[in-house]
Amino acid sequence: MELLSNLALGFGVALTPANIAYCFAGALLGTLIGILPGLGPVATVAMLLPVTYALEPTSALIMLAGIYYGAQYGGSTTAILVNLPGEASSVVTCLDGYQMARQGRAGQALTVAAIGSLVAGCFGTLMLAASATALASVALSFGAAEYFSLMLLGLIAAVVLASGSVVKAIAMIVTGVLLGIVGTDINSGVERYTFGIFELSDGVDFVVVAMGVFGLTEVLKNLERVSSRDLVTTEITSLRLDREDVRRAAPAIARGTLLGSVLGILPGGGALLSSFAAYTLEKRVSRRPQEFGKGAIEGVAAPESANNAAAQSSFVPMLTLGVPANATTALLMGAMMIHNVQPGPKVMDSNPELFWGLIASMWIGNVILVILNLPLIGIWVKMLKIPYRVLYPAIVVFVTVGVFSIQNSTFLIYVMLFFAVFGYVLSKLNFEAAPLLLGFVLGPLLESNFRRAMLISAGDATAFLTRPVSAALLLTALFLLVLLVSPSFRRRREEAFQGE
Amino acid sequence: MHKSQFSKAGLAGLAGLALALAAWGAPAAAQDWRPTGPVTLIVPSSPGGGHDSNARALAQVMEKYAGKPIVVVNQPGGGGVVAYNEMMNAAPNGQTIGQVSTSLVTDNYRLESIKYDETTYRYIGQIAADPNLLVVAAKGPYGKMDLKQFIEAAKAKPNSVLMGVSGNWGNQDYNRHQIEKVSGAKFRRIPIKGGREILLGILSGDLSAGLLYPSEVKAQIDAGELKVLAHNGDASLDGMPDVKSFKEQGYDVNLSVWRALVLPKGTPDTIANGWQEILRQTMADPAVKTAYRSVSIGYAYADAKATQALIEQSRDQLRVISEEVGLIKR
Repeated sequence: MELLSNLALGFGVALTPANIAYCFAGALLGTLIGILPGLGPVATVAMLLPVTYALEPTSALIMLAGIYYGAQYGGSTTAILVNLPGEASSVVTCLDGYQMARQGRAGQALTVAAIGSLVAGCFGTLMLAASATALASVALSFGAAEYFSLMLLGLIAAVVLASGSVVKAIAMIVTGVLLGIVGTDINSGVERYTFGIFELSDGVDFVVVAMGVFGLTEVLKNLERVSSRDLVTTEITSLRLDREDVRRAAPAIARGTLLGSVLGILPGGGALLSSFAAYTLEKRVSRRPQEFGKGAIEGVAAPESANNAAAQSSFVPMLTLGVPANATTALLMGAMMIHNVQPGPKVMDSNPELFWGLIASMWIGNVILVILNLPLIGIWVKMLKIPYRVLYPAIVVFVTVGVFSIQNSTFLIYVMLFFAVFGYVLSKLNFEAAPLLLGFVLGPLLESNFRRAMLISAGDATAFLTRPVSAALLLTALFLLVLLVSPSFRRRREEAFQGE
Repeated sequence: MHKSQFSKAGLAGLAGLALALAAWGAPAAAQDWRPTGPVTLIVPSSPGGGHDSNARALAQVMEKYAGKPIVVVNQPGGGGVVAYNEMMNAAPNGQTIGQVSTSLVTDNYRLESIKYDETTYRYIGQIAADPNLLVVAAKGPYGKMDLKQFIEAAKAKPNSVLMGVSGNWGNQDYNRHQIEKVSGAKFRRIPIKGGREILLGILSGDLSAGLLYPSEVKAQIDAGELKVLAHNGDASLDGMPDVKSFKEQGYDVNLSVWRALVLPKGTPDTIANGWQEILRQTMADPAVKTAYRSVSIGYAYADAKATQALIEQSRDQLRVISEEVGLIKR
């Protein structure tokens, strides 16, 4: 079989001692920057790029890719332990992961995140290996109309994401959409809500908002409680998952992996979206939606699997189409070009050892990550014992450095501070931050794709219905909407959230 | 390993290095200024784009002549405005240099209250000229056409050709306007955030055509998925000798993006001369061409004086277009 011989070639390349070492170095570094909030893979890969000039292209790429998926992995640790998304994609993991930690189940949360990531990483890689070219055509079948319908579906599904009142959830989504509008309108060149501040003309960065409303808000909230540290450290039992945990987490990991693998293929927001989507789906299919947001293990398993699967599958458009899916893969593409490897439709034929070596290394990297992290979980959990007066100043420093590194500019630090206060006010008023962030991500995509689709169809709105993929997505959205307003569902939802 | 052997070898190596440095450094140190510590190269874009890969390819070679490490610092904030301000306000001691491009001129036409223009900086020299390529999907309706047939098709049915342009009056929009003006064709303008979305739009069939950098589309062209109709530069393209310019095909369209290195205005002559010499040596090194070719950046070099003239010429050209499209109200 061709796939097997290709994989054999790949493992032959990836299993040389040098490449295993680079893979390990990348995965370790990735885990570290993943754990440090704000400091993301983009800045790290950019900094390391010159170092890789001297390396073999395959080794360079193996290491840089390790940083990328290692970061997705490490991001969950901070999310679970201190309610701070270490990476943009681990925002959703905060919701239930942190609650689990407060119930003394941090070990279980970290374990399930590790196992979910491993399963997802391995499956995502297998998919990449087996059908990269076929998957690329999926990415190409998405035009502006399809993206619009997908984003609309996402926004409607977001209402399900919230655990409290529907009205508050909608308010938060709309606020998020409005915040997403800040910046220059590309159709007219008009600046919106920038108040003449040129730093805002490109809009607000997602990471900055996330660090503000999740990370610093959490610090502010805890300043109120004098020495309530014991709240979190209620004796950490074992790291082992019991049978009930496994029974609940396994299907969530499977669904998260599938969803992440598919959404990760779509360039532009697909990977970030996948963790939100996986969480929403879990909550929708769960028989205990009321437990979400209060430490449901599925709420950690699904998004963590999804973001890792998406990290792998976001290599599909880069490797097969030559179109990077996000900033990090754009940098990886640059790294390949510096080494005279042209990523794109021909890379599989022109550089098979690089293509298959990279894919095989992702497998090895995922195993390395688990081996690296499972024994470390015990140590991470001890972090919870660090007194707040030491931990919080450290967090503030890390977050500030991380946010600065996004654009090498101090302006973003002030923006983050604004969102920290904003997030604090929201939490006082019992508004949730997750729908806000989802609206923030989806809103601009929704608008730009809608306007583009209308320009392409010359103002004919039926374009959204005549394209089959788009029509199917819209029908699903309509179905969700009907479900949301139908009396029986509302009753069920209210029952589920009794006692809020 | 024996310790004594190791240290002997180390000492011999160090001594040799010191000798070499002394021999190389002596005449240079007498007249020429060189950086005294690591150099910051400010780039007004995020990591991963054409601007960024240009800077990194150049820095890699330039370190050799500067004698100190060159650190690329990306400041994408405000579409480059943050970086341009930073370059303007940097200490004029030669330790901070900046990379500027055509947007330095056009920013004044699309943004209010910015404090810089093409006269704000002291130029070191031109480092690149990147043409845009007019590309269509090879399998699409225009895939079998040449430039003339494409333009005739666009003229026959105005607004039928969907032209993807990076939003907010970037170079591509100016270029689209030029093509329309000289040919009488009318494209439907579809603004999109960036080059990679335009590329994806063309591949997925959403768009008919786009104006993109060679570095963005080289792979797809080589794979036969995109067809190049023309480039908007002057010289023939390194690595794509078959592609003809608009001018060669009878259309007076010419608008490649230039990039240059700058210093803050108040930089003393000795330092400015030192940098001009470093850049001259760097651009004469064949390693630059090799590095540029691998990331598909168009090589071009001009010294400080010629760069000044080039930029003034570019400003005049872009001013006329900006007036024509209504960005500048007369």
